[in-house]
Amino acid sequence: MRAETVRRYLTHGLTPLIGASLLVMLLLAFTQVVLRYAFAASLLWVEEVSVMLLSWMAWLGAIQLWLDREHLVVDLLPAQRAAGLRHGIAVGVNGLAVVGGIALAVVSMETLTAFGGIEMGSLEIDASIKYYPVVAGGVGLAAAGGLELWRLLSQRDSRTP
Amino acid sequence: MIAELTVLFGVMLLGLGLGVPVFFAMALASAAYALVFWPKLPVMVIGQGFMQGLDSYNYAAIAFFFLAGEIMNTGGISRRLLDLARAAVGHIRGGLSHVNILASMVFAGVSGSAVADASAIGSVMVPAMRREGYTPAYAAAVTAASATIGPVIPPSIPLVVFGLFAGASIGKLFLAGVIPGLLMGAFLLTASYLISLRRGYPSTAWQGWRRLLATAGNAVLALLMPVIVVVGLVGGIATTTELGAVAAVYAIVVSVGIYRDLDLAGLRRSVCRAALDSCRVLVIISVAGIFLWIIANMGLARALAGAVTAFSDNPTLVLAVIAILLLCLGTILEPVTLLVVVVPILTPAALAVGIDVVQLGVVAVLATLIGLITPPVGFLIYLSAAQAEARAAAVVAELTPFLGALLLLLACLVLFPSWTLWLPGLFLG
Repeated sequence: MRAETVRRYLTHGLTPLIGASLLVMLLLAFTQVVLRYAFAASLLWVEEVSVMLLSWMAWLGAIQLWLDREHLVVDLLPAQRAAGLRHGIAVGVNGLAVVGGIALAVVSMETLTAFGGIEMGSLEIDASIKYYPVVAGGVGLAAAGGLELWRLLSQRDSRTP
Repeated sequence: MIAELTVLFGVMLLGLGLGVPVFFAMALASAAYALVFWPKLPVMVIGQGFMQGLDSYNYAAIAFFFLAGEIMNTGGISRRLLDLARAAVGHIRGGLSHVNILASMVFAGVSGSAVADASAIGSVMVPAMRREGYTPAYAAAVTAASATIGPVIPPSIPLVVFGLFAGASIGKLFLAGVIPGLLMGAFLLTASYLISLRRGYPSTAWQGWRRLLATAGNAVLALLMPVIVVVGLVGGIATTTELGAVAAVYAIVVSVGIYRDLDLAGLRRSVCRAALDSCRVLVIISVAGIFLWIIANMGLARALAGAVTAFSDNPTLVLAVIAILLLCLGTILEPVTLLVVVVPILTPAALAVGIDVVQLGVVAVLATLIGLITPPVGFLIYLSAAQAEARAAAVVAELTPFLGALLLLLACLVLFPSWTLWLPGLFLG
């Protein structure tokens, strides 16, 4: 299987998840407004759930944007003249993404373990659940970096991430 | 502290210079700091910092305003707003140039992003201007310059980011952006009119009041969106995040249910695109959690506040220095990154000399937005140059008078606090 095919499968899986997170957040926030004005009531857990969804959306989105090479960058290198340099930088950056992603996942797992047993406010669930998006983000970035490395080394593509 | 700053900002700027994604350059800088100055940054803080960067419900407002703008843009609102602008100012010499600017001003009320503005207006206006005999570089320059109005007139994503990082009222910031946003339009229209007179650019025939009223009627539902946001904030009806959600739902109802410009498949695509656009910003904010923890731990903001008060206690002078600093940094960094990194450092210094945080917010946002149309990394220059098939260098040359107009306005906002503070003072005290 080629790197590009794997990338396509991954992005097809991630895009609906990211969109759904935003849609659910939107529905929750709008419902909150309607409940407050129509029924003088409110759902206490909306903000905590939304923050978790936002965190999941941001980190899953970070993986997708890495795979699509669509993250915000400051592009100072002239496009044609620096093709070789760009390729070298892209290989280096994706290598760092593999190492950095794993390090982030490991560090976040440690924090997650430390927060085990502490309850979140209105949801009354373990506060460590808030760290799962960052762990997933770390693992995902490492995977995305690895996939890009595979693609770069097999195709000699010079595009930066 | 000098060694720590050198490592932190050195690694970040090196990464940015090499084209590393912004959030990753910030993460690498934090990692380099952790390794070099071990154990100043405890492992537990790293995990917490990444999570706490986004641990606020208020950040959802960014995603909601992105969604509202995306749906309004995709749903054919931009076409209606362009028709209205054409009917209003198309008959003045250099008509399409003014239409471009006026449409951007009106579109600013439905979108909080300069890039969305340039894409929506430029895709229609640049080809139309070229057909009418405007040079491609000029058409691109007008599009790029007028797109900077978008994030100043509410709703505004950079003002939300500033408010969250400076601890300022987003309602006051939104109101404070209204007059400067309208003045940006007026300054750019003046520059465009003077250029059109000198070059003899064409105008279209006056379409009559009936046509103007008809196009206004067509666009009225779009024009209501900024009214809903501002009235909601002024009246204390809902929080900024909830108003973002209301604006997004309103955009869906108008585009899918009333105008019928958007079907469900288009809506699904818009939601996914808006989510990804938001993620570009949100992941930077998440990483900023750890980055700013390091800066706070160094005591940089406190030290800077002390240095600034020792340098001068004149708020105008200090605000002018901050504006110049942001203009310089804005030539390299894009607005949200700049606001996320610099605002928490500069705000205590500005407050220490008596600068109003709301005035600081509008000045900071305008200064960073001007960076979008200045080389070497003016994103709007390249976007609009690509739309017009013009050389970036030619677009930069054409941008000079517009840049001058915006710099003049920035100087006025620094010198006259009432231009930003009058409206929020009137409604929110």
